[in-house]
Amino acid sequence: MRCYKCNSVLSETSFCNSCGTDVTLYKKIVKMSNTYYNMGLAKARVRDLSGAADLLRRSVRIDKRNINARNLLGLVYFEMGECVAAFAEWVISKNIKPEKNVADTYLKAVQSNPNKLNLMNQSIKKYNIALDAARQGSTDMAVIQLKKILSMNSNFLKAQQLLALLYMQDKEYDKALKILNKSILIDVNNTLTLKYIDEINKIKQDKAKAKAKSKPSRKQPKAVVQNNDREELSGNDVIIPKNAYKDVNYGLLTFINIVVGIVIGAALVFFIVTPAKNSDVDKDYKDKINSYQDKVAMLNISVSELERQIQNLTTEKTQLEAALQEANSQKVDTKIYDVIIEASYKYAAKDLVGCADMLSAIDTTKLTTEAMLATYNALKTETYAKAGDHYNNVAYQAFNSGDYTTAVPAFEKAVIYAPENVGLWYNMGKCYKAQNGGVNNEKSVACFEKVIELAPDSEYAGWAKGQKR
Amino acid sequence: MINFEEEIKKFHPSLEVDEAEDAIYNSNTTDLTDILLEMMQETKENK
Repeated sequence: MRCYKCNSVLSETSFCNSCGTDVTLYKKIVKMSNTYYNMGLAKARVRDLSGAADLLRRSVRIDKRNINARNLLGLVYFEMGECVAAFAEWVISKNIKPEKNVADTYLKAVQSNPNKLNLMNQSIKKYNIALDAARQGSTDMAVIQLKKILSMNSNFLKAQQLLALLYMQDKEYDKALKILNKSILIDVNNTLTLKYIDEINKIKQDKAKAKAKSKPSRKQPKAVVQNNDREELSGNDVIIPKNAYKDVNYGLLTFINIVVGIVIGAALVFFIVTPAKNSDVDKDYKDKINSYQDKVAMLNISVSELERQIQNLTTEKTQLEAALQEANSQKVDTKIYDVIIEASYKYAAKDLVGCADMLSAIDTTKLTTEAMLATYNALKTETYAKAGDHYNNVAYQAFNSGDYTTAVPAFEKAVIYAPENVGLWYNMGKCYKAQNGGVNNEKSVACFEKVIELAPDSEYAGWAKGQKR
Repeated sequence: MINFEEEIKKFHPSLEVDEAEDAIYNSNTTDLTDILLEMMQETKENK
């Protein structure tokens, strides 16, 4: 036993002599795992494979480094026809202990025979197809496949059990029992196999009972020879046997011989020649049926392969479309940087209003770099207040002179740059109202409500309430 | 009496050789020793 921390050999003490780790519990865990391994080994030796597999699984779950248990578990799986599960256990085992591991021998033995490996894989694929067919109600197809599987991989326990179940479904209990008897030789204590055998035996017993009830006993008392009329023989009586001699009728005998000869000849033709011919024809038909079944099975496999390929390609296409869409959405709009650069030129030329106008048209979500966002924010801080004042003045002058066509867009721009300016909102509301012939409309009411929302206690709020009425 | 529909549900597709790699990668290899180590680590951290 080795320390789980430093991998040095442990002594009888409860501490590791090398690193000083307390290994009391670890030793108990390893012992428990070994106990399960021993129990599994005992079961495997008497071919109780399913019981052994259960115990060995527990053993490796308790201590994953229990190489013996893992290798034996693989061997048990392999014996049950579950070669992939067996490979998985051996590969994990080899990964845990790369040197001096019997799993290596097992893997090499299997890999050295690619034909056998291919046959096993084919049998597993066919089993999956057969299971699918059985689930969809095509029991005939499933039975054909399963028979082939068992000819390729005779120890495939699951296939045997499925075939037996299908036979039971078709009420072919003798065939099912035959398969199950083979199955019980592989795994002597498999609960599913035993359950099916028990079920078949019960059905057979019930049938026998029902048959016994329905038919009265055929056994009749044998006819007793009526010898009552005959006198009893005494010791002195002589028993004379019946004389069997008859005159021979040669003409009749010849005729009978000829007839018997003809009958024998006809019987020979009927029982030997005709069946031989029929068997040849049957064989041809069976060969043809087998070849067609093979073709159907191969086509089924290729169809399922193609369906899988289609599914994979569809998934790949969807992923690529999503990736393309994402790439398109992330595509940097370079025009936005041109706008910022132009706005910077305007700022440098002291055209603060023009600069603000350009900035207001920018969608900030498209500014992907921090430098551009910082530039945008700096320019905005410098220009927005000035631009707001400018448009406020333009709008107010136009409003006072009754030029609402100029005043309205100027107000609308001004509130973009100074959205917190209550007076601006109030004047814009008044402008809308005046433009509408002194009657409130949706826009003017919205402006007055904005005033009340921004500064509810100010004198503007009072005026706005008055204007709203 | 055995119910065919119920029984057939108990049969599951067998792993194919192509799927062996996934089976190995997805196998849970956490054992009692790993759990013990985790518990010891947690106890140490709580102290």
